[in-house]
Amino acid sequence: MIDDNDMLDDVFFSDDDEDTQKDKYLTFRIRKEEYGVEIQCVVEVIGIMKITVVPDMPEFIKGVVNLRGKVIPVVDVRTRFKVEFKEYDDRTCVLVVNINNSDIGLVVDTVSDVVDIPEDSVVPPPNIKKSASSRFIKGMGKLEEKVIIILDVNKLLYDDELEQLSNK
Amino acid sequence: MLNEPKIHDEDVQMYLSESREMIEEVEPSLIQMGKDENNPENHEMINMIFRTFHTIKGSSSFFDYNYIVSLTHQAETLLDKIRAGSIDFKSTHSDVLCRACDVLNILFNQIEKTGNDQDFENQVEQIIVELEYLADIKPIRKETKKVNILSLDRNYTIFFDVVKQLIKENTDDCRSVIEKIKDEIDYNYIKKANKDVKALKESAGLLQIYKVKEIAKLLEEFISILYDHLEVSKDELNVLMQSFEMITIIIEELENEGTYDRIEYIVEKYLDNLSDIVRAVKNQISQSGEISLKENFDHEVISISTDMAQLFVQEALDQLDSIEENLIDYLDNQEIESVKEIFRLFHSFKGACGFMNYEDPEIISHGVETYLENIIDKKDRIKESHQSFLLEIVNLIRSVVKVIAVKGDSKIENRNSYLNKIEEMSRFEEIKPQEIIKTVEKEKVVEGIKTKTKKKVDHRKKRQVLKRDIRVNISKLDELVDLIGELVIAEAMVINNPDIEGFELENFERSATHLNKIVRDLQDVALSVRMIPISGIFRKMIRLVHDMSKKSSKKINLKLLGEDTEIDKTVAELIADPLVHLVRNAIDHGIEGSDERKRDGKNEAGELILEAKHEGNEVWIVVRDDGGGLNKEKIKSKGIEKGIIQHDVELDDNELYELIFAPGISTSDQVTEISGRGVGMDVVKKNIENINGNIDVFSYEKKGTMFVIRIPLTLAIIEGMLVRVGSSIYTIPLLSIRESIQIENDEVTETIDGNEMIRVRDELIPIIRLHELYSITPDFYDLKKGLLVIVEYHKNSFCLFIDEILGEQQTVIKGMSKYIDQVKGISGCTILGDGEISLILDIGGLLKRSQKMGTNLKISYN
Repeated sequence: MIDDNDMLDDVFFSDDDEDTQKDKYLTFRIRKEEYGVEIQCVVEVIGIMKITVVPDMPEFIKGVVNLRGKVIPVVDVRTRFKVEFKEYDDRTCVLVVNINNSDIGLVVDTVSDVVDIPEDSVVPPPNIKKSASSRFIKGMGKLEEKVIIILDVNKLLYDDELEQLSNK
Repeated sequence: MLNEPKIHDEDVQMYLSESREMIEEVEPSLIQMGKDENNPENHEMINMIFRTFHTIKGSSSFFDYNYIVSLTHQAETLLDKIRAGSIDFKSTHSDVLCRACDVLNILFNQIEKTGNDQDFENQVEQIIVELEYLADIKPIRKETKKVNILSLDRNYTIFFDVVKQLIKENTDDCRSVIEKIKDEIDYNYIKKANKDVKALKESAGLLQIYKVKEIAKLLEEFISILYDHLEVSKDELNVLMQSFEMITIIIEELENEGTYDRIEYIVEKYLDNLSDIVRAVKNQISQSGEISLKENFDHEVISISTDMAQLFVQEALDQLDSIEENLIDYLDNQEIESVKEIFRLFHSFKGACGFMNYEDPEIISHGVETYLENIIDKKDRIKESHQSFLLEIVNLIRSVVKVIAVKGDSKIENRNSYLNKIEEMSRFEEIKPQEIIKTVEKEKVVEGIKTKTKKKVDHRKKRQVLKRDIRVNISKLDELVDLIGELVIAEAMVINNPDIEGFELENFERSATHLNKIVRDLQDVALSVRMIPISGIFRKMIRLVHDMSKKSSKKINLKLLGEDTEIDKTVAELIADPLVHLVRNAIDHGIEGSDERKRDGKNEAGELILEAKHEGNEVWIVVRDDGGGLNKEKIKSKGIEKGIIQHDVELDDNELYELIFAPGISTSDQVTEISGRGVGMDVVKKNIENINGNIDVFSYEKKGTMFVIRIPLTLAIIEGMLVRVGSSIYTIPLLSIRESIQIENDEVTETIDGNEMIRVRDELIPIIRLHELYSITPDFYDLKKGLLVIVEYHKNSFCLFIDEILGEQQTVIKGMSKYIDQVKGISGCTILGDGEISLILDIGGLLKRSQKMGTNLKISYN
């Protein structure tokens, strides 16, 4: 587990250049599907830690964690996708992303890889099934042996539901 | 000298090693500079070397090593001149400075051996003389018309060679520059020429070759005319060129014969000729109605790094603040100590200005200094009119400093009129010596500060006391706090490491406890670092009130309460402006004129109270006056007029008072004049809201008005009570807790709509079950098994039902993430010692929240 993180850290911090990060995606798994987020917005990956529940939050905001003295909220991606909740285990990871200048943690089943998906292999999302998660999808990245669902993190975090909450 | 701190050996050792290190750093730079005189990087190096000498001087003076002090002082003077551009850097300078370093090293060794820096007077004096020569501080011999090099000491001969070399170099420089001007007139060349000629003049002065100096002087004049009028005839330039030839001849003659007696006649004649030409050119120009501004040259602006300027501005503002405070103190107590302090402050300010080349403020503060010195010497008093004038000067200087901060320009427009006035004050002071006797009796200070040495000692002592703080970038502090937070967590991880669980580790336990204690202390210190007492802001108001009360001729008694209340630095910066507004309004409109006050049976002097306190999880800053209060009718009619409120709406007082913050009303003169409040109130409110604060108004007709600024304690430290409900740990601000109780039997009653109330003594207090509110699974559902904490908010009390109390802790409030925004009932969170997060309960919010949830709270008092 820890080794995994170190490896990822290396990838993130060795080449911080915008250019070298282009087309690179961090992939993670929810159920059987593999999702990807642009690597620019990923700050770090940590193992699951104790989450302090904050009252009055939408269901998918699990609470806050203490990331080395910084208090950051965590969003459970499964809950956000309206997929059944799975108990956290050793493989559960928190993906810390930075959106609109604030760090937010995403709880995912497991982090798998960093992959290159060239721009021309990304196709728009199929418009057939209107599932709960489909509105967060930015595109589908086609790799040789698999397809990666590329997420729009901004939408994932800020789409409607939360806006409704803050408008209250 | 009883108070003189005892000097320890370690201190001397430290001083020696530091100074040696500094000298070691300086030497290579000196040598490098000597190799390449024109390297543009030299300027930076000179600055560095200057600072080094300055530092050594400072620390040496602390230990009373006077030889070192005078030596470094001399080196500093020379470097300062080079830096300012009045002397060009030459390799000879670096030679001499290197030798100065050698001598310093000798002295350091001597100190190590004998504990003082004596026994090497000769070397020191010699090098000082050499430095003086280079810096052209004063000619060594009085007026000897003929220079007789041979009659001088051997040391000096070497030295004359050096200077002669300088003259030659300068002459050559000048010539080449003038030649260029001949071809093409260009400001830069002329500037360069001016500089070179100046250097030439100075070096000639050193050698007392007065004829050369005179020639150079005329040339200088000539060039400055050139500078203003870019017209010059070929003939005139030829004259210039001739002068250089003349100078070369003189130098040659000197070299060969030791004097220039033989050619004196020729030189004399040439001089006459030259001065005629210069005069002619001058006349020609003044006829055309223009005046040559020689000054343009004199202000060779040295480049000052923005860092330095910033530091200067910060320090200067602090100094001005202290001056002001002392002046106002002096108003009350008339103590000579305040004057001395003001004197010292002006002195250091002047020094800083001089260092930064801000001429005007320097001159003015020098004037003030002289005036104050006079007063201190005579043990006189500062007259009242003078006091206000001094305050005016402080203001003037402050505005200049602010201009410097923005534009780097230090001009003061009517500098001279101020100077004259200051001088006048000093003169006036001299006429009344009879006062002296009186004050001498009052003051039992033995022999004020008269001699220079004494003054120096005094200064030094003072500085040691003052030098207790340093300036640190606030982001560094934040980093420190965060890091320590991490440390705490890491520590917990080590100590509670599963690998060592179950072992008997006696020694480890002991070390762990020790570590734990240190980490706790460290955390406490780190947390307190960001906090500053509000007194700084409050003190600024003293001046404001003083000025305002004079201007409006109302007597005001200002009371400051809770000055030591600590608030976060960022908050402190942002709160100052709104506070100024409120105070100004209170005096301007709130407090009535003395006639009206008398009529209403009030004390003639109005009372203004500024108070700061921690209240719940907020800092309250209260501005209270005992003036006329707000005029509700006027506010209302104005509100209707502006269309902010409807005609027929009934408003309660609070809603009405809220109106004064509406922009339309606040800017209206009419309301301000009649009702008393309003200027800039919308700005005040906005500023306060920017830091998530609130402002409340309370007003009673004829009795006064009170503004309460409430700022949340983001990042502020509060004392909190940690309580547990199920697995969650919450922090309740200690200040809002009244008591905690365990109930026994039937004090609890249930109302019809299912709300529980408890009777405590004569009060019925509603109970809020935290586990219900936050949907947590608690240990206990039975009220008798858990605990009840009675909290209070704005005189509303209620009970919180919890499982247990874990203890008290000083906590830093961290804001919740922007993403989560604000949660009702939670004011923030804090990180506990073991890294866990505890939410901080916002009692006011809880009250509202539980009311919303239908927990119909009825507060009854018996």
